[in-house]
Amino acid sequence: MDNQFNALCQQIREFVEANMNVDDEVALKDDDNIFRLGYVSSLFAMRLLNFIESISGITVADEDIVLPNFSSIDAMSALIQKYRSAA
Amino acid sequence: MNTAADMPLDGATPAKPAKPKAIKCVVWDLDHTLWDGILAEGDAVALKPGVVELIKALDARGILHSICSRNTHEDAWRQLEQFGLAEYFLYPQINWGAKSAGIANIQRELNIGMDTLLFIDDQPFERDEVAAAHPSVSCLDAQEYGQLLEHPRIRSVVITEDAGRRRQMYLEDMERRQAESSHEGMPEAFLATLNMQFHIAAAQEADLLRAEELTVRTNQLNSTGITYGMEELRSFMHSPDHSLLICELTDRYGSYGKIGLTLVAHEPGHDHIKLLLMSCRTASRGVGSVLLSHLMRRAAAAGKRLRADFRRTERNRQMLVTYQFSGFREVSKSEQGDIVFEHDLSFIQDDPSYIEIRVEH
Repeated sequence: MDNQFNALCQQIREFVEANMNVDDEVALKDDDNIFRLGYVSSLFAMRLLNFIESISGITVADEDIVLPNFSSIDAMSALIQKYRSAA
Repeated sequence: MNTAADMPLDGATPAKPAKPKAIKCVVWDLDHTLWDGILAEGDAVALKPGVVELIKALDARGILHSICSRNTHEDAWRQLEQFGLAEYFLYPQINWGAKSAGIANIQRELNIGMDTLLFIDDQPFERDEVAAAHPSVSCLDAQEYGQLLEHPRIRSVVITEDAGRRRQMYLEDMERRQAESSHEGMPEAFLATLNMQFHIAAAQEADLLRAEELTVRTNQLNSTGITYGMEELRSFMHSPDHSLLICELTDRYGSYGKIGLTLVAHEPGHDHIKLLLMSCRTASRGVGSVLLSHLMRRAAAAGKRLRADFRRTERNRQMLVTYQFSGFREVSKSEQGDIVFEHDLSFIQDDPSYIEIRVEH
């Protein structure tokens, strides 16, 4: 894992944490499903997609725009990694 | 099949050229276009004959106005206020920059297609500069302003109740956006301050013209891009096997108007969403997902499955996102790229707390 990739993941984590509808005390784990746990809304999913595309420069293909790819920090990291290795 | 479904597909070779889109906004130059004389050179400028009546007539048809002029903003705006015209112009671009940049700003702020703008200027250089940067913008020589109402892409514009209020609604939008940009914190928290009400109702006769207009004007949040005529919509409205629902959104700034439409076919084992669209002005409000959730609950209550037609166009990515993030999965795709989605209804997201939903059908 290179530094740039780690920095991207950290930015996503901060973006999600800043938008969670919970107390600051809740610790976000990398495999937490943020939608099932009610941390964020589906409207947020769209903002998350826009955010990830804007910081990473990737354009997520239609077939990858599904909630499981955005449901946790781990899933989003894997998605970005997939596009980076394809590039 | 209805006639609308036989229209050329995006990406396929069309049988005939696509009908040019209706003009949604006229962008005016000022000097020697809206008025005679050059303001910055100290001329006592005078409006072109009939231009006030023209602007009001276009406004009544729901066509917006803006400005792209090389001038000092304060001076030009003061002059427009003196003429009593300032309130007609949305997002005016009065500065010394390139007009192509001004046009791009207007397009972005209004969130309408570049191909729905008409730019009117007396100088060939300016028209060429805009046309080079934005080939889909219609450019008109200022000498021809008298024929604007007869322009084929303006004459054909249908006039609806919402059309007469369109400028007002954009002005309310500008207020909302100012409030939104000065709001600190999460967008959801801002949305909660708006006291939004989303009203879902069976379409009535009086809604059909607007419903037709929505199918023509809505591009981004549109599940198929298929346009429907009033006659077709009327037959769906009366059909016992279909639901034609129209949605209105209001908040503390006013009404967004009738901004959403969906056509559902009630098949024996499943409900089938033939069309679902939302005006792009509501894009950041999440109401597309709200309407989808409503249709999901309705199908689930009837013990049915829920399917939806989707046709990917160049501009409806956000509607694809809405469907897929709501949990719809592709079950088939035709050679032309037409998708059928299905939702298993096992998990239906709660409606957002910032919006009150009323259903009448």
